[in-house]
Amino acid sequence: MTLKTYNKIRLGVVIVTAFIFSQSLVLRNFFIPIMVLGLSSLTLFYLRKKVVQVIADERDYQIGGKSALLAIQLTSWIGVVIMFILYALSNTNPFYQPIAMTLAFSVCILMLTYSAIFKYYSKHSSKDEKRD
Amino acid sequence: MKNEIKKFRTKLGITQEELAEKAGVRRETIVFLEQGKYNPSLKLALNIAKELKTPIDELFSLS
Repeated sequence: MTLKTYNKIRLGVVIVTAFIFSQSLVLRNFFIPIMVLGLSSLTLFYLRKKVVQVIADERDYQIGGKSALLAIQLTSWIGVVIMFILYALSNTNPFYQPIAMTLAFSVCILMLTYSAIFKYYSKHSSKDEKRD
Repeated sequence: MKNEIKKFRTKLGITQEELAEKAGVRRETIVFLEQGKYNPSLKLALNIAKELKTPIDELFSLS
């Protein structure tokens, strides 16, 4: 299978999954979306194995690393700013406080996960042959 | 870092696509390498040198 065919199929799978996912949630069915998500992930994983061309190389991984770091930094800053604004406005609306707390914990979890994964790769990167 | 990938590739008469396939990267990476916009890893540099049948020091040099 060529990369072009794989990308076309992937786009189709994503569109179908998104449609089924949203419709199932509207109908308040939570079993179907999980099944569809698992099935589509397995399908894409199987198709990825069938592609003979290189899907991603070292340059993509390098760009991915930089992009991920920037995305995490941006998300964290935006989250923290919104959290402070919501905290400041919590006197006007008490519902702002739990939202601010959720944001604060989400940012903390994101940064902790990033640190843990970074530490893992910094110790084991030489063994990670697949990313070469 | 400067490189002579384009020179040696055209000398051998192979396309960017073919070199990319042999070196195990995407064609875009070869394009960026030839334009001097990307510095390859040592492994990729060695692979390209091997595919172009050229010593690595003739292919890459510090600018």
